[in-house]
Amino acid sequence: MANDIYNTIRAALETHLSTTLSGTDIAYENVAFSPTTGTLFVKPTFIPTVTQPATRGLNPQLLYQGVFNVMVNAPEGSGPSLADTTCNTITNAFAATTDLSIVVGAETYIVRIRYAERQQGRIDTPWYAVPINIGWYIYNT
Amino acid sequence: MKSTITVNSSFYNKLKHLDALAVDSVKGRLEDIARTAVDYSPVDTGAYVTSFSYTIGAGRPRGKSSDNLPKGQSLEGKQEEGYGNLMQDISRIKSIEDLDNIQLRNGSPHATDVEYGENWYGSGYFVFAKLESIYG
Repeated sequence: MANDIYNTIRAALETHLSTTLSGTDIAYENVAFSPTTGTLFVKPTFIPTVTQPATRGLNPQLLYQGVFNVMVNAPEGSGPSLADTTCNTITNAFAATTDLSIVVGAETYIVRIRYAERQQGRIDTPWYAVPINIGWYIYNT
Repeated sequence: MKSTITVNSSFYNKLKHLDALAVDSVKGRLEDIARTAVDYSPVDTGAYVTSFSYTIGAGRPRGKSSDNLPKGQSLEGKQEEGYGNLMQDISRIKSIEDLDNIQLRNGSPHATDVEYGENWYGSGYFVFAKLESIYG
């Protein structure tokens, strides 16, 4: 399952994001997307980092970890409140210790959130872009 | 009423030894973070990767602009230069008091673009985000 684990983790994170932001445009990675000027959208990026043994011994359980970045793009010049509201919704839904479960075949996988951290916004004309970094991890064989 | 307690000088020596162990341990961790930071950094002009600083005490953080610098620089060469800069900062840590507030910074003007991408459709390198995931 190790080769497919990243597909499972991505699915858990993206599904939770789309459920949380029902009705909001989402620009998924490597999927054609044209933003509508004046309409908020978010762009998630899945960033695995290091995988390391969680225990000693032969065939140890592995700790997979990484970041799920969500860039909130609100219309430039519309004030901070629209972006703030969306950022708050995301950070609340991905609060530290949140468990995201996903069923694949007969197995249930739990992706746990380590932290959700909103960063400083900046102008990326015609957008006001606010990054949110969500740290995740999962133990698996 | 008064009592006098005499502390054996070997006690102070043991405390000093503990301090030295703590400093060495933190320096080792900072070296690991430095290595990871430069390894995750892209290189074109080298301005970004050579703009990392550990802020320790007084001193101005590094910050180079890529304007007018030659492109296509050696990846390994510039990464080693950046690593050398950070090792130089670490060598300034002499005592446990120096560990009070150490920050890793990148002062290049395009550091945010490197982190998150230049445009909404571009993808950044997420150098600091990865560091937080691994070492945070």
